[in-house]
Amino acid sequence: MPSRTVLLAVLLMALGSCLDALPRQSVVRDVLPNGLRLIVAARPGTPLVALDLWVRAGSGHELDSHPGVAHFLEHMAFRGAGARTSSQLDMDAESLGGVLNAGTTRAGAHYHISVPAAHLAEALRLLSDVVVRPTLPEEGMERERQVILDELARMENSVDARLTDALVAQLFPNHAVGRSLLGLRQSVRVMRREDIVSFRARTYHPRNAVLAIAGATDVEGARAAAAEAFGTWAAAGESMDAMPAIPARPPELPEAAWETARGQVAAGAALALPISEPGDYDVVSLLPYLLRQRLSAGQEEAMSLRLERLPNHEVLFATVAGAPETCRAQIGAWKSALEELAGRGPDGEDLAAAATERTRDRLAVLETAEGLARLLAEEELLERQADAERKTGATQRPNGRRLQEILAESLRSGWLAATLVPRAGGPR
Amino acid sequence: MSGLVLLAAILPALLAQGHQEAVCEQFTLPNGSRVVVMEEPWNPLIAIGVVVAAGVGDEGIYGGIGAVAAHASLRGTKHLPAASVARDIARAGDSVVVGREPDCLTYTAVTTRSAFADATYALCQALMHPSLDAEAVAWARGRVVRALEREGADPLATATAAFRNAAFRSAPYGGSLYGTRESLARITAEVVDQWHQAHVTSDRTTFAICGAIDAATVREILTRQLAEFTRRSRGRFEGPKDPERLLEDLTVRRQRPIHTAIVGTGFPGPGVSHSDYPAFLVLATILGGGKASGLFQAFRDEVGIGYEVGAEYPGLLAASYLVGYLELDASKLDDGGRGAKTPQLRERVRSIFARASSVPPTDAELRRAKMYLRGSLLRRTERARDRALWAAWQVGVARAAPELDAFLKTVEQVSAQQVLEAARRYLEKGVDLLILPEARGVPSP
Repeated sequence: MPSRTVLLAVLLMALGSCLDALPRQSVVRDVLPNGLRLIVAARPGTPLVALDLWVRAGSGHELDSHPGVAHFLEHMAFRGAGARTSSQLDMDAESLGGVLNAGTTRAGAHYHISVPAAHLAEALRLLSDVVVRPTLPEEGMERERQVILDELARMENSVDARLTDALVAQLFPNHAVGRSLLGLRQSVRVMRREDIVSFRARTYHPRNAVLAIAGATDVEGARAAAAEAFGTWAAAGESMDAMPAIPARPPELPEAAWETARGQVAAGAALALPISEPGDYDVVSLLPYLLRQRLSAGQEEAMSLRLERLPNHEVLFATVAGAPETCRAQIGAWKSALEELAGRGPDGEDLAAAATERTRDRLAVLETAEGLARLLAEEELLERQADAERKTGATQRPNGRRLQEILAESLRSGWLAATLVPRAGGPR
Repeated sequence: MSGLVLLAAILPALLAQGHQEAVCEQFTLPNGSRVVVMEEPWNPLIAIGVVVAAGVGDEGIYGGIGAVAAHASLRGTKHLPAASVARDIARAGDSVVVGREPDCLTYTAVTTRSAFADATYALCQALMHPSLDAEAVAWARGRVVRALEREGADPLATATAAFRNAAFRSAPYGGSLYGTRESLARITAEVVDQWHQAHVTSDRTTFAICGAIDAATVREILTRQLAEFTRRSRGRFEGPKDPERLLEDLTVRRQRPIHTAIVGTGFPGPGVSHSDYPAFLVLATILGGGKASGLFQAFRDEVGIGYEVGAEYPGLLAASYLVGYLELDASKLDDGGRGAKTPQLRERVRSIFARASSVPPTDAELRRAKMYLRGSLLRRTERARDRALWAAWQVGVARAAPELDAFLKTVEQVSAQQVLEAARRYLEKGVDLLILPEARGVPSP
C-alpha cells in the first residue's frame, strides 16, 4: 500500500491532468461586434439549454442618491419589453417550458431562462427583449414598488439577510456595496421612473454585459442565434464599469455588543479578503472547507459559512444563532481557526480533503445547464476568465501558501467585522 | 479510489457527454426489493436513488421517527463502525444524502462505475443492519430538531403546515415530517431499532440506478449485497390509513415575530395514485404554477401585491391538498388583519378558484400549463441523482412507470374538460388561511 504522502501526490497529479485537458474542449468564448461577450458551453447530455445574461449593474454600481435602483430596474424590466406586455412575457416564456427570471447582486444584475433545447432561439429573443428593450411603463412603477416593499418585508424576516446587511455596512461604509441590495424602504418609496432610466442608460450596454449559453446546443448555432437576438443592442460609452474602487484599507470597525445583548440572538462575522492576483478567488474558495475541518462537529453544524464575491474582494461570512455567550464562543472559534490557518497554513492533506469537498459541491451545480451558465457568466463578469475555466473542471491545484498569505494580509489589515441582531423580527 | 480522484475523473466526461435515450429496465430481486436501471452509457456518473415506502402514517405516537431512523442509519452499522461507513461513503464520492418525505424515506448517492459497488454496499448495510445505538439516535434527533426549527421559522412552511393540520387533523399527513419536540423526545434507540426492523423492509424498498451501468451488473451486485435483507412488512404499503379530510372554515395561526403575512385558500386534492391526479396537477399549474398562472397574474402582475404568489400541491400518495397563497408585508393588512383588506384579498383568491370551476381553461392556458410542467420536470430531473430518485419514487411510492416520458405523455393527454371536472370535484369547499406576525395576531379559534 502506498504511503499517504505518495497517494496524495498521485491524486493531485490526477486532478491536474484532468483540468489541463478540460476547458479548451468544452467552453468557447467570443465577442459580438457590439462588444457583448458570449460564452457557449455545449453539453448535449441534458435536454435543456440555459441562458444567463449578466450586466455590471448591481447595487455596487448605484449612486448614493438612489439606493435600490439596480434591483428596482431588474423588477421593472419584466413590466413589458419590446412588443410584449408583462403578462405576455410570462406566458411566452412558460409556453416554451421556461421560467424567465432575474436577480441582483452587489456586483451585477442577471437575467436567465432555461428551456427545452428546441426553443433556444425564441428564448434568446425573449431575453433580448427584457434586457435591451424594456418599456419601463410609468403605470408599472407603483405596482412594482409595492411588490418590492413586500420583498423587503420578506428579507427582514431573514436573520442571515439582516446580518449580511449589517456586516457589509461595517466593512464598506463609504461604498455602494456596503448598502442593502434592495435599498431602503424610504428610497424604494420615492424611486422615480427617470431614476431607473438614468441608471439603465449608464450601465446597460453590451460591452458591460456577458451572455452565457450552456447545455444542449452546438457552438455555431448558439453563436448565430445570440448574434441575431442581441446584434442590434447598440454599443455605447467608453468606461463600462461604473463601480468606484472599493477602498484598499478597512475602516475602524466597532466591537460587537456581546455584553449588553439579551435573549436569543443571531451573530455574524465577516472577513473581507483582498484579491490581487489571478487565481486568488479560486484559492480563497477553499476557505469554508478548511474552516469546517478545524471546527468541532457541534460548531460546524451550528455555524453557516459562505462566500460572496465582489470586484477585487471576496467576503467570508459566518453566522450562528443562540444565546449571546454561545454565539460569542462560536465566533471566537471561527476566528481562532482563521488565525491558525493564517499562521501555519493548511497542510497538504487538509487541502486535498477541502478540494474534494469543493469538487463535490461544484459537481452538484455543474450537472445542470443553469448552474453551468451562471457560473461561467458571473465569473466572466468579474473578469476572472482564467478562474472560470478552471472551475468548469471544478478543481485547481490547491495553493496553500497563497491562501495563507491572503488570510494573513486580511487579518493584519483588520478586515474583520462582527455584529449581532435579535434572532426574530428585526426593527423596521 | 478516494473521492478526490473519483470526482475529478468524471468531470471531463461530464462536460463532454453526448445525449442518447436511456434504456430502462425493471426487475424484482429474490428478496422482493424492486430495482429500476436507467442505463445511460454516455453518463460518467452513476446515481443511486433508494426509496423505502415507510411514511408518516407508519409513525404513530413517535412522530419524526422516520427522519431520525434515516439519519441514524448512516452513523455506523452492525458490521461497520461509524468511521468505516464514513470512509465507504467518502470512497463512493462523499455524496450520500438521506431525506424524509410524507410517504417514504429517501437515500441518494452519486458515484462512478469503479466505485459503484462501494456505494451500494454502504447503502445496503445502512438499510439492513444499522447499529442505531444511543449515540447515533441522539445525533440524528439533533438534526431532526434543527429541521423542525427551520420549518417553524419559514412563514410559507407554517402556512402549509396550518392547512395540512386543518385538513387532516390528527391523521398522519396533518403533522410535520419531523414530528414535534415532544414526540422526538420520547424516541429511544430501542424504539428506533424496532421501527426500523418493522418498516424498512425488503418489499418496501426500491432502488433506481441511473448512469453508465447495465441491468445485469446491477442485478448481480444488489442480489449479492442484499442477500441478508429478507425481512418483510406485514402488509402492502397504502399510505396513511385515515387521510379523511376534516376541513374547518377558517384557520388563523400566530407566528413568531416576522414582517410578512400570508393570505391563502386551501382545498382538498387527489393523491398521486388517483385517476384525477394528472388533470388536477394541470389545474394546480393553471392556478398557481409559474408567473403566468392565475394567482400570480391577478395579484403580483395586475395589482402589485405579494412577492411570493403561487400554489402548492404536494405529491402525496393517499390524498393531497392545494393551497393558493400570497405573502405580503404584514403592515399592509389594516387593523392587524381584522380590517377590510384581508377579506378583499381572500375574496379575490377565492374568485380565481371559483372561475376554474365554472369555465374550462383556454387553449393557451392549457398549453402553457403543460409546457410549464414539462420544463419544470426536466429541470427537476436534470441531475442524475434527481432522475434516480424520481424513478425510485414513481415505482416505489406512486406505483407508476419510472420513465419521464411516460409521465409527460399522461400530462399531455389531459383535456380542458378534464381540468374543469377536476376543479368542480375538488374546489367546492375551501379553507381560508391567514398567517400573521405574532404582534398583530388574532387569537387562534
